[in-house]
Amino acid sequence: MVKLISRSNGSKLKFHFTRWGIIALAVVLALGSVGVTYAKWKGKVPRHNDVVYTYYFNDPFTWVVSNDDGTPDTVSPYGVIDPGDNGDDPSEPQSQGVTCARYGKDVASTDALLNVGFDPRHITVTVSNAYPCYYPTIFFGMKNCAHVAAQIESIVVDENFTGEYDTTADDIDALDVTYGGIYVGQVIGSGTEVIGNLHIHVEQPAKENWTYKIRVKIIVKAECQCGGTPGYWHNWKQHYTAGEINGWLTAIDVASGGVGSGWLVSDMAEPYGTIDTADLDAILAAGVGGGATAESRFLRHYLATRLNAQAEPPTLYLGDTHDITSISGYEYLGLSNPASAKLSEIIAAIESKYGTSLTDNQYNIMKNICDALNNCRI
Amino acid sequence: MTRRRNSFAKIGILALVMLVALGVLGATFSVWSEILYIDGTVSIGTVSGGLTDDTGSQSYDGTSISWEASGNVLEVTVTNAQLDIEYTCQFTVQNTGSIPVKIQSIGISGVSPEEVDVWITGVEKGDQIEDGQSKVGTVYVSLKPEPPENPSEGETFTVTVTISVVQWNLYAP
Repeated sequence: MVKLISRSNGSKLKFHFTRWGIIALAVVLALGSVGVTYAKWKGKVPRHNDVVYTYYFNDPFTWVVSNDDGTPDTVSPYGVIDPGDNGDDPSEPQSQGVTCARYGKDVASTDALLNVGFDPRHITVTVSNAYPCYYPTIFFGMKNCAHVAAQIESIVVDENFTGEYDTTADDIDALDVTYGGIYVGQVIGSGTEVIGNLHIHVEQPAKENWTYKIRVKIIVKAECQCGGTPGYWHNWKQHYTAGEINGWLTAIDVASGGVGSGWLVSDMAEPYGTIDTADLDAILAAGVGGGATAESRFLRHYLATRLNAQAEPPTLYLGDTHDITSISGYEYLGLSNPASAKLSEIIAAIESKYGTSLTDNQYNIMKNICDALNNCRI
Repeated sequence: MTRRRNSFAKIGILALVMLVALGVLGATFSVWSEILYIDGTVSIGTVSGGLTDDTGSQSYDGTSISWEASGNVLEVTVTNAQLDIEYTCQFTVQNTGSIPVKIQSIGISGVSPEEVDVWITGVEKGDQIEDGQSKVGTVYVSLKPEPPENPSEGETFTVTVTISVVQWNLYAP
């Protein structure tokens, strides 16, 4: 590049190089950022009701069901979402898959539509001919299609929505709008779908022949805290203090029942001393390289999994469920529901293998499960 | 002079780079969070019902009955009331709203029950009337034969019938 724009004057040459260098840098920066954007954004909206959405979003609604449209709706793989929907008006909130009390009449109706204007981030609900005590429920799927975990940052219900510039969350006497199935702070793993619901209760003060407008605004953000991998924990000094790490290791120690009773406790604290950051560094280092055994590789990933669940804030939650059936040999853990196993159950199953004689393949199975957990792949 | 122009150019390029970088950074950041909306329109129906406006009269040999229905009140007037005559008039309760209603109460007033019998058929408390539908009732008025000389005989009196309706699921038995 320098030769192409060379001049007889040396200072000019330097200037042109700097200018083109800056432009090149800008292009690289722009392309890099676009790449990051694309990587964050890429996700395929699943097919539902014979509609294929061609737009890509991080966290779209995937389906929506009204429990008063006169038809019980089936959504795979959950089955019938609103059993008993025969058009008669609900008189109480409905839970997914469970019938609810209904008046023996079809007076009001509720329709819910997804993808109005080809935007699956938007659900439109229309309640018609409502009256006090009418109590419809909307169910919806919300999926994290991004390649990183997402977290619900806020959920705001405005029972008196007046327009795009209305930022006030009004709570009016005429309506009681509540949600369930989703909550602020909820972490949605990559590829995970959650089912939310919205209950609309018309109250006595509702004015006759009147129209109320409501808006529920859900902000979902990428879970940037997703450290997770052994490499992340290898660089723990960049993220945490030694005191924090030691506290979490101690908590893992206590949870595992103490020395000699679990994978990490026995193997980390040689010779059964206090578990600390030195042990963390040692086990993470032992699990890499050509000389690493299957057991040490497993322990490296397992330690990361345990720390992910123990750290504050955690990036894995003990109560969250994971589908491990995509991991070859997952049956080895003997989980009763491997398609939806809680992290706590997975850890317990791994711990149950301690003290038994394991083959390299069995270590690898557990390692692969932990690896997938740490990378939010399952 | 040339050096000065170069200096300006450098600053301009730097500013451009900063602008591009910040813009792209903003675009990147913006997709890290996503906003989802559930928008709802809740249209409330109307609960409205009562007596169909109506007036009329009927005569029998020097005695007569006339009536006037409006809102939820029906006034029935008997003129020169006679024993052994059963005065009748019909009325209509209509649901003019969009929500079903039930008849919550039927009240009768204006006369002494010891002297005048008033009863209603065709419509009773708890009856449900769908939106746009109506129900026809009949009011019967007659003097009681006892005491032998009924003080209301030959008199003119007015019976007031009041009918109230409520949203069907708020009916209190």
